[in-house]
Amino acid sequence: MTKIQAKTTALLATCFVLFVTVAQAREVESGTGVEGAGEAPAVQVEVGTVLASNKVKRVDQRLAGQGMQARLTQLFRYQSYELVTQEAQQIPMGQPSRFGLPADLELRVRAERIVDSNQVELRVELLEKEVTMVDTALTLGQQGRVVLGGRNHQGGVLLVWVGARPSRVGALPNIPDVSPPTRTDQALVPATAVQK
Amino acid sequence: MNCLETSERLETFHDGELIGREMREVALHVAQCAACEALLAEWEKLHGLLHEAWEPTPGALAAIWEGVESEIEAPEDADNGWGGFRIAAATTPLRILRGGSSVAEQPAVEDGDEIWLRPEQVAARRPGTAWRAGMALAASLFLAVFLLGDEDAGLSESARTKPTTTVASRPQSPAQSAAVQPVSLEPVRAGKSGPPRAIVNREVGGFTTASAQHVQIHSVKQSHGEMAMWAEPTGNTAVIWVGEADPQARR
Repeated sequence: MTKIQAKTTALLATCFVLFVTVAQAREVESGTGVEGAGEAPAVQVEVGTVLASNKVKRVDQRLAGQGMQARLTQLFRYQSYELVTQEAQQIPMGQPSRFGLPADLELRVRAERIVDSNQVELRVELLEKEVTMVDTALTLGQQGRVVLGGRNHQGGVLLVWVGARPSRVGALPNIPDVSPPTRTDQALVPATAVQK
Repeated sequence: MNCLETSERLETFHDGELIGREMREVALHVAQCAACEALLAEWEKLHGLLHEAWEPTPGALAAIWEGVESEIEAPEDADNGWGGFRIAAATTPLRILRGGSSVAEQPAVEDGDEIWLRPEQVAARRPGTAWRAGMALAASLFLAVFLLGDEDAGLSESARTKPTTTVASRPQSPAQSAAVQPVSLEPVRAGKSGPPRAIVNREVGGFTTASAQHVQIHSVKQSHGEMAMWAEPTGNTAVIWVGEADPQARR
């Protein structure tokens, strides 16, 4: 191999690696490889907090409306489930968003990409006073929910659920029964206090 | 008996706890001394007020007992910390992610199993795809500079000054600290009893619920002792439970 051929090969290899790198970088920045040009992908993220305890036997009826009652009663064996907070946000792809929770907890959610047009890949961090308690990467389908639990609160345990679905920036939220955030740092607000 | 000695015994005298000669002396002094008589009257008045204040109203004792009962039942850390009393039922066979892409059911895991994970030492962060691409680009540019030599000094200078500007890097959360540890993905406890039966890929980790269309957990880091993951039968919901040192003992 002559010197010119070696240089040409090296130059072509460099161009190829550069092309692959740029393509990957663009895919990461766009957040998805399936969205068409000109669209602004976003994700509708819903976060709810439930106080589970054994003080009384009662299930907040609004959880049934959310489809969470059956899920929780199958996952846990508590006597009482009270909806404490609920919030939905439309998050642009790749941008972090914060959800305030009771007991000085905070949930940070970042939508990474949309998979197969109906699944959302998320990065979810649960923090307590700026200390990360859980840091997870997951993919949720439209019916999928993940529950983060274990924090003691008000004589019970807090269960934080996260759901997500693909959306578009500027589109109206289409998740029903979305309530504004309600912070209950000092005392548990009765379930009826969460506005709809 | 003088006034000082009498005043010291007025409370006991009022309560009827003095006997014999002492009681008679106090009674005699109070009958003869206006000051001590007034003192005894004030004492009786104060006792009456205290009695009224402590008179239980209907339902008050029940309320007091509820508070005492809640204190008895509640653990000391009822409102603080992690790893509260966990009452859970894991009823979904877990599926294990292998190789980061394919999903294979783990036949050794039976219904009712769950996977417990324990933190291990902080491992070196695995380089991401973009980072590896950047390193490849830098290496290629270095190779090109080396091969081309001085004949293309302008290109090499450019390559030296801007070697990785096209590489996208995902920003790390400011809260992500060294305290957050990757968990060991070797199950500590899987199933209701007996030795662990589920094996999770240590490097890739994570699991997916019965239907991969609903929930897939690719990675988990946590900073508070042990953690558990399980799912409901439909696979629609998965749980990440944090911080319980001995879950079986508290069940």
